[in-house]
Amino acid sequence: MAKKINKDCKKEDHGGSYKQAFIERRIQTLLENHKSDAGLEELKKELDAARYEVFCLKVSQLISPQHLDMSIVFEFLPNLTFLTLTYGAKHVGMEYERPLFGMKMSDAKTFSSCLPQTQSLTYLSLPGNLIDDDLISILIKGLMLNKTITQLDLSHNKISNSGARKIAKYVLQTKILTHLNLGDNMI
Amino acid sequence: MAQALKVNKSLISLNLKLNRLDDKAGSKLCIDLLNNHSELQEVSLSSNLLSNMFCESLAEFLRVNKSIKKLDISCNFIDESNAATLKDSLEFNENIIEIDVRKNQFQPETEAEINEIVTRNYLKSKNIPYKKIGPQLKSKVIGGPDEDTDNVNATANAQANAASNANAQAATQKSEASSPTKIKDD
Repeated sequence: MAKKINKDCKKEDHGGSYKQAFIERRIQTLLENHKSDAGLEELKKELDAARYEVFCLKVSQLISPQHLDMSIVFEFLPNLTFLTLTYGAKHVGMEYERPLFGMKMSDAKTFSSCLPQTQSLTYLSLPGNLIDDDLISILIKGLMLNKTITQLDLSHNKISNSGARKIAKYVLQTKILTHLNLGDNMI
Repeated sequence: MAQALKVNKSLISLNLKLNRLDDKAGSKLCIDLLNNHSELQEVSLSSNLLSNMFCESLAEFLRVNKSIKKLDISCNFIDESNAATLKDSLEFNENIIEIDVRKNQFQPETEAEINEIVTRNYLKSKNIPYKKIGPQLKSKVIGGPDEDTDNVNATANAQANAASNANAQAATQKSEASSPTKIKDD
């Protein structure tokens, strides 16, 4: 595992520290390749060990169709500031299956329920999650209660006009959001 | 969506590219932003379905707005008919220092003029005096006059670079405090 971990890794992306880069990359790969709930205890141990060291996570895939419960990430990593998360699998080849991709209703619900409690999350990016109007309404409920997010990126999704209206409601009441990216949607 | 922006004050960057915003939505956005004194600095409406009507309201909006610095309206369907009003507004509003109008239905000359106006604004914002680059120097900087679509931007950038180099040079030499006009020196 360790030999692949440093591919395309720049310490500038991880607070200018090799230690942080290594830890964040390790957690990232663990989350991406987490297969089933059987390994959950081990994952929790790893997360606990890295508790105060993780600031920036870019999770570009979640390999199993039963997506990992993201609440443990928020629970174990209080310092998390930048989060990019894509539900989906990469390089599937012939094992392509439709359910591998996109956020599910249950994912959205757990994710949304985590949002009110974030302590330091300022940048949230959910690109390419097939988020539609129903999912966005669930997520917005969480975002409404969030007090830390200043940059929101919902690009490459399937949000249309009614979803945009829900986002508008959020934009209307938020006082801290500075960057909003809705690129590549269906508004 | 636009109505929310009417009230919101915190947003400084809005990216709506690759969507399906049409004239109606675009104009509404402009009008509502007009009525709100927002702090928006960067707006991207690239790759939508915007055309003339939008261009008109955009021009109106830019006349009044003071905060917008970067504007991206590339890959839309805006054509010549309202280009003059847009140019007017850009001339009038010196806060806009970056614009992208590529892949619209403008004539190359209009595009060049728009870019020139904005480059002038940009240089002004950096306190660099504006000087039009001569044709022989232009070909020297970018290596040949026949380059395709990026030509205009390349010229603008080259000009900005040349001017800032000249400025730096002047600063180090501590020569006359007068404006650095000899770009050819280096």
